[in-house]
Amino acid sequence: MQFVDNFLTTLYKTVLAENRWRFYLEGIGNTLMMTVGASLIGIVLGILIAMIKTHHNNSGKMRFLNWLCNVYTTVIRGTPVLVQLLIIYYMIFSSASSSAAPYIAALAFGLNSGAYVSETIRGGIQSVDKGQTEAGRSLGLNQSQTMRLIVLPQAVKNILPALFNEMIMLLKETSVAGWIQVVDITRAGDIVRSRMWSFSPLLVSAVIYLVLVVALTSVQRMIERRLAASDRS
Amino acid sequence: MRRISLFIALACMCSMALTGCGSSGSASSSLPTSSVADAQAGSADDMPDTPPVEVSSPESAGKLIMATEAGFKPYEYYEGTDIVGVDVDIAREIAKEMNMELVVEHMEFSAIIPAVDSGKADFGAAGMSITEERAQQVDFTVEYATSKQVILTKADSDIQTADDLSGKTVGVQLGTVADLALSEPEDFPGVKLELYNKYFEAVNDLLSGRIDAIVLDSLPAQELSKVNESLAIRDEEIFTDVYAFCVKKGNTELLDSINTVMQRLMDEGKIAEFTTNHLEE
Repeated sequence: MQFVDNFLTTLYKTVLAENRWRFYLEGIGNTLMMTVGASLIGIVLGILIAMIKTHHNNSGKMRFLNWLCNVYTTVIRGTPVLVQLLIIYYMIFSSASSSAAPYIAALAFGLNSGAYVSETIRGGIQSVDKGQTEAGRSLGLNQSQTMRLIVLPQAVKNILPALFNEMIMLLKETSVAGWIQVVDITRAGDIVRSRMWSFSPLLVSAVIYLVLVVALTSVQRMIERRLAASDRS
Repeated sequence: MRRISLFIALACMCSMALTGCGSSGSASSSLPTSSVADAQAGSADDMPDTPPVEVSSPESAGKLIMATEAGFKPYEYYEGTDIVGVDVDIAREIAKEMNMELVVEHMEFSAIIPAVDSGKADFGAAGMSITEERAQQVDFTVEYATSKQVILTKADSDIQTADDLSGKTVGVQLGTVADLALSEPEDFPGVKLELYNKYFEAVNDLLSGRIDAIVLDSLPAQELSKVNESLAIRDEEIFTDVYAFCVKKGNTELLDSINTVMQRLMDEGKIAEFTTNHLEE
């Protein structure tokens, strides 16, 4: 009984006392906003870069854009996300107000994610058999129509697990946003920690992340089931 | 069914971890350390040398571990790769008295009390103000310094008194007395707080206009305004508090040792001397 008592007291102090749950609530909101925002930016950027690179590989055109994309992926993948975040917040957006910090963070994570997503998508496009492109072209579709209507839909299905993997990583990567004063789930735990001088808020943060990731995984399962509906089996 | 049992298992795990907190080694163990014994020559020219002594002792096997946040000149700051400052000077005297080797560990300010509480550090010394809430977690030594909390702002700012902070964005260091005090909306209505890990970042944001003021202890404020000419300290003291070292609750042996040395240093006027030394540099 003592054990249960201790647990409940600590839980109360960590979450309910002095309205501390508000920090976590704000944290969940910011973490989700940053994850969703960064994912969208990442996917749009990723598709764009992957198309440019694929197009360059197939036709040899767009040499400059291809070079630019290569520089981007090299720089982004070659440096840690925290360093990128600090540079973007303190050096590039140095005049932005502090209330913009969560959005700047979302942008920074999105730019980071784009580099990884582009490689994932490029892999997905390459995994679609060349015969599909040839078939599309033979049927009179032009290059971009073939890409949009035939290759990409198949590629998306192939890379869906990898994309969700990236989103899960992203969700947890946002935990460094506290460095620029964004109250995300980790920072919420830090703030509570600084007021109660115990490590238990870390566990609350961990459980919140876990629940969010499990939820994300179930969304992935749902989408995969939908996409599999028309599969021959 | 499987999901439910998984959930229960998870809940059990968490509860064990929650209640077991503080007694076990749940803190991060990779804190950067710097042995002050190696770092003597450069920092303390006015003090007699303390050669590293190998003496076995029940506490940390001959090592006296001090937890601090070294971004708080003149109390503790980095000089080269070594942490120096008033608190370090005091701690060195304590270690000498106890025949132990002083090890200074740098961490986030908010991690100091948990580090002391969990036994990762023997004592905390970080220009730490005595507050009621903190006193519930750790035991404080005798007071060795008085600190005024002041407003640091741009010289051309219209903020003059604490009342002017209303409606403004104010930077504080996470977990400091300024943070705890300004977090009370009844005392400081309309203040939007930004919680920083480092004062350097807060000053950067003050200069770029992201925040309107920083509330902090007067001595570090003086150091910061010395470096940046466009910053000014306002006259009004927001509140005054006293500094002390802290030890794990119930560790009266160490508490008494520290208190004895500290009292002696104060009687000899040494602490004032340390403070002047570090302000001059």
